[in-house]
Amino acid sequence: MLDKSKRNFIKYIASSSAFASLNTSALASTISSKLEINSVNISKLVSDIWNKEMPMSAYSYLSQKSISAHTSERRVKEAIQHDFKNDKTILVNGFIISATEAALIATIVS
Amino acid sequence: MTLDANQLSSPQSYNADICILGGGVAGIVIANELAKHFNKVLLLDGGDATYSQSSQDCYAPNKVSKHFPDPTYTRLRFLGGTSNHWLNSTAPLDPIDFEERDWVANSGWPIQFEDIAPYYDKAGHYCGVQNGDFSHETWLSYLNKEGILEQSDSLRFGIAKIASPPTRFFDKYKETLANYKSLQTIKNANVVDIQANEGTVKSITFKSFANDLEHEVKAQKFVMCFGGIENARMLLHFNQKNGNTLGNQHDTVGRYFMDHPTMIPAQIFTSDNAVASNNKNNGEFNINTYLSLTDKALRKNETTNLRMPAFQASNYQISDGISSYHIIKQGIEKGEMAEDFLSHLGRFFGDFDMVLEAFYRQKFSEELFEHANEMGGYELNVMMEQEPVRENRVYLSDKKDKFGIPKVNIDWQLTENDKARLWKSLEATGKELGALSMGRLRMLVERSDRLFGDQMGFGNHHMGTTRMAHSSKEGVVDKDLKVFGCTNLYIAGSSVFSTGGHVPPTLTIVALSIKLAEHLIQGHKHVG
Repeated sequence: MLDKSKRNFIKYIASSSAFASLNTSALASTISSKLEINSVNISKLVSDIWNKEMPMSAYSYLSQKSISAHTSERRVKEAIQHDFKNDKTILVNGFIISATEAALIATIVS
Repeated sequence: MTLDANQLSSPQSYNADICILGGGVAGIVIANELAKHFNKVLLLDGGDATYSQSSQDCYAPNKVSKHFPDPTYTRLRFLGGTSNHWLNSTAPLDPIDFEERDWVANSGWPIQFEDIAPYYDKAGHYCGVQNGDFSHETWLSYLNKEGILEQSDSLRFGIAKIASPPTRFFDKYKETLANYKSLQTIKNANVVDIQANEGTVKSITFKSFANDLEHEVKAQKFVMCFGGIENARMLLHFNQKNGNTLGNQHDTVGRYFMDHPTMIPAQIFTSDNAVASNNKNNGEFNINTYLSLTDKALRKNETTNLRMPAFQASNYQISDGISSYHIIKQGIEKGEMAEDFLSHLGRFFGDFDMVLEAFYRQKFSEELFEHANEMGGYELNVMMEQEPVRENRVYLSDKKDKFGIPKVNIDWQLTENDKARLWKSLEATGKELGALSMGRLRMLVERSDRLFGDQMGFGNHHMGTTRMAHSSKEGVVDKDLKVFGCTNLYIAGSSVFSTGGHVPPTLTIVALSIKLAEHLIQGHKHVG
């Protein structure tokens, strides 16, 4: 069996050849140019969803919660739990995450 | 005493106080309960004491909806019925299951949980799980789950008890039944007709597999225990020559058909195993836990009941790439682009090692990556309640079986309401898990087409086709399981369920059967 270290190599190979194995023909070729999907940045994704769904910026939300880079882990955890309890959640790729988590991730991109 | 109808060489006529039609779980329980109180009880079953293809063939339908499993083999047509291959998973319905819920069409039983609760203890004994105790007090500490969801008003652990080995009802009770002088069991006795007059059933007619002779049974009362689909089929058949006067005054027989759809629509990622479904054997039976929503959460979210056992899953099992591969492939085969195509493509490449793993396992029966078998999270194996709708139905076709009984057509689908409620329930579960710091839940919404399509499983719990109701406008039998419009015809089995909850129906079938037997005994004493 292969170990984890070969995973990235396999993925690289995959991106250049695997799509053909789907027997996709014309339909595949028209969209294969969009394979940049590989580089989807989770932070960007969350940021986009945040901007679409939330009434304020991620920064504002964190400020409102008094969360900054210096906030303790325990305090952030409490904010996350508070969000879940109060239905302040966002759906990202099917994951139900708290608004605080989403805001923290979204701020990375900017 | 057991008689084989195949041995009858001339037309016979029998008389009984009570005639039970069908020797599955309900029939056996009712026979056992009644035989101590009546002089003459007859138990008829269309099958033998063991499997026979000629009997099983009588279960073949004419047509079923796409994705719904062919009921030819999901049931068994011989003494003991489907208990001959059930898993013996038992749990009582929840109190909320009996209630009329504004947000669930056609919900509400004419009885409440309190009416059936006293019978669960004996039902548990019948099913080989000791009693009707499914309480947290007894079992959560035994399973080391005590206190885990104590703070939650949304999530709870449900308890299921599973006899091991499973209880095969005829094997377990055949000697007891044989010892009653008041009880006669006739096997290979296939009911073909009913003779009724002004709402009173006078007699039924049966045939064996051996010849075309017709035999008659006259009785004071008749109890149909043919099964979840067959009760409707036979009652529709009886109604054909009785002008729909037997419980079908409002075209309700066969309608409101329900099952328990099963699927894996979500994953949980967590660093501890608190959410995991436990399984422990106490020497007599297995005890399982599963996640479930509390009454409060069901009401708040206006959703239907469901169970969500969480099972540990490997990286391979929870792979997005494999699922996305199938979704993309299906789209391509149809000549169209799958919905959210680029996301699927991203998952396909992002998880390509697992796609390759799948390829190796399928083509070479060989494993490729060692991390494929490492734990990746938990899968939620959901079994969900289905809303009873009139359009889901069992009805008669023009094709007939060897005894001239019309074969059934089955229309079944999961409504958009059902699907929406599933996601709503999972969202509530995910939020609560987050609030309790017990992990993060991922809903596999992007797999909807497959989850509600060819990946959908079924409990094969056929319910609702002769439902219990306040009147013949909404159902087929009353709260005492007597057929509307009849004085002496009763029905037992999961076909009388008004709604299905999320639990396998057998424990409740047994409880309702004991309750019916008690009702018949009381009536008998009253007359006597």
